Amino acid sequence: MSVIDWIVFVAFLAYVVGDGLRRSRGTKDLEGYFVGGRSIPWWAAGLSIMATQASAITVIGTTGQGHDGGMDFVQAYFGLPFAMVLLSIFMVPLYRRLPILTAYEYLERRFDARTRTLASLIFLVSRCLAFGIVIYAPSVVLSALLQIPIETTVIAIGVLTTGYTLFGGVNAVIWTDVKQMLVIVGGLLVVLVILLQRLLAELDWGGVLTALGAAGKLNALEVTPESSVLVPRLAIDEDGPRSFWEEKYNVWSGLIGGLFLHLAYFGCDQSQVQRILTNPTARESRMALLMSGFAKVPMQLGVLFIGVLLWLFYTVQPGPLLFDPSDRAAAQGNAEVAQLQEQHEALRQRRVAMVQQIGEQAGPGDVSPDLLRDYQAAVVEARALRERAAEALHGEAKVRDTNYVFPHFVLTHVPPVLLGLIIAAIFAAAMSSADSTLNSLTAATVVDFYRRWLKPRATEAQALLASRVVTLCWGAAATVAALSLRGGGSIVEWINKVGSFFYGSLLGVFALALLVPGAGPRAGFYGLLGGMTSVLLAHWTVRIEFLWYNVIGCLGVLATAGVLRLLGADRR
Amino acid sequence: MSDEARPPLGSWARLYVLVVVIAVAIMMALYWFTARWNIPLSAS
Repeated sequence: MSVIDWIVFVAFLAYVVGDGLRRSRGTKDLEGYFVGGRSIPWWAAGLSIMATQASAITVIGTTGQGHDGGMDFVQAYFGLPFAMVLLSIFMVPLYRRLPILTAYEYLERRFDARTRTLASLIFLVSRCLAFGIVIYAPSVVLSALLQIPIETTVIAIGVLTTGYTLFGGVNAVIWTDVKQMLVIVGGLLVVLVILLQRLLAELDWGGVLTALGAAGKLNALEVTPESSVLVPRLAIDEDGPRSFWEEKYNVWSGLIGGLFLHLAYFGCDQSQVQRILTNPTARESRMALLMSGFAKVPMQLGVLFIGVLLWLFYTVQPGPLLFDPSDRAAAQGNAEVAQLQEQHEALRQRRVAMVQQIGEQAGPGDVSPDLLRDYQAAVVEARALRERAAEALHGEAKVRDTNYVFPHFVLTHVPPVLLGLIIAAIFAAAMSSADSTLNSLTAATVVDFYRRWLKPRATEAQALLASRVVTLCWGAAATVAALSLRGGGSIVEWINKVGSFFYGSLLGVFALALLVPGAGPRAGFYGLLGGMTSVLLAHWTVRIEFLWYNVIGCLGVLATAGVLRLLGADRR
Repeated sequence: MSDEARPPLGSWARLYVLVVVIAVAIMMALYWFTARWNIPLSAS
């Protein structure tokens, strides 16, 4: 990275942190610290909603997913617009009617204190598990990009984010998110333009789509599942046929599982509910949610498209066998990996010739069967060579460099100044997710535990001081956790998987509160436990993909409440 | 007239329908796009 890139990068960081700290003025009570005095305009809250969800996930994880698996991941977001409409109809009026600071306060008013406490605890556990990853995963990539130790990037993200969130509260979080979101979109657009410029020099637009489609990368909507077996396979069944429930992304898991996931995430997760609470009116809260409903699917499509273009780019241009710099360092002097690298390059050159032939066709359907078979076999073989290299280095035939594809391209093909901007965008993405998580963890800790159980008579000044101390503690804990983490894989899946273990049950208890007027406190509390138990049982006993956990958890809550009602054990 | 009483497009129902219609239109476009351009790896 050149000096000018460092200047762009550091200037952006200084601006964001300075702006965040400036927002601390006027934060005198919990209303100011956690809901910004309910004065944030809808467009700022809407951008913050998107930035919170975007994280470094969108920039590096989703492009990596596009490179590895094609466009199919977009289907996980198909339920989101419908979720936003349902939340605008049912949850916004509910949250805006009450003077609450956390989503879980509503549960005490509707059920009882223990249901609120359990729900808040579930949120804290799920979020703090993900919080370390939110800091760690982009830190690994940034350390590779900036060629500095990972400990430095973890501490930089942890300290800077904790610093401005500590002083500015949600005001700082939202207004820095707005700027971070703009930088993220700008950085992604720059990469998209550079990629298209390079690829369109080799192929025309139709050729690009044909070469991608013939490799199965344009799998944006898959109606027909790979398996029609509806009985889930048992966890102990290693060799049986895969069932419908094991397919990670198709239109059904996206529409149904994705609907439940997004209802839970945007309607019951404090990091997002807090955005709904910051607007002056219910109208603005609805607008903030619907903004994401309009924009998220097209944005994910664009990001995944960058990922598949990266795959094609590294077919027509030389690239590394493995993208993780630590893998490449470990491979130095490894004869087996060197041989695999040679085979990979020879195969790539064969694929370039095939891509040129395929690119001349009007569409993948016009490619001759022999050429298509050879091309697809080469695509599969290239993947197998990468897996063999991973096995030679790690003893496991699993490629774990998903998060390094985008950074590698940026570092090697993006010109100065723009490189600084894109690295700033990745940093911004990491901070925009970490700050919201931090502020919401603090809100739940202070409002649902400190002020509810430990010090109910705390003054506003005491509670605000406690909030700042708690922010510092959560920030320090997450930074320490991130320093101790190791591993790879896709960040986006990690976060969604962790969330899916808990979200369905949270959604279930809110659904119970809203849809079953007769449900009493026991149904709320034991329903929540029942939902969590259902997800754990499903995880241990059957093979099922994580998006469905959200449905299972939600139905588990409602079923438990129904059983209690039948047994006469729940009275309101 | 209060701000709360002025939903975009005249009513919330219209805005919700617009969000749903756009979402469905995007999915239909993606269905066409996948059918037109994509050949699964297992197909050959």
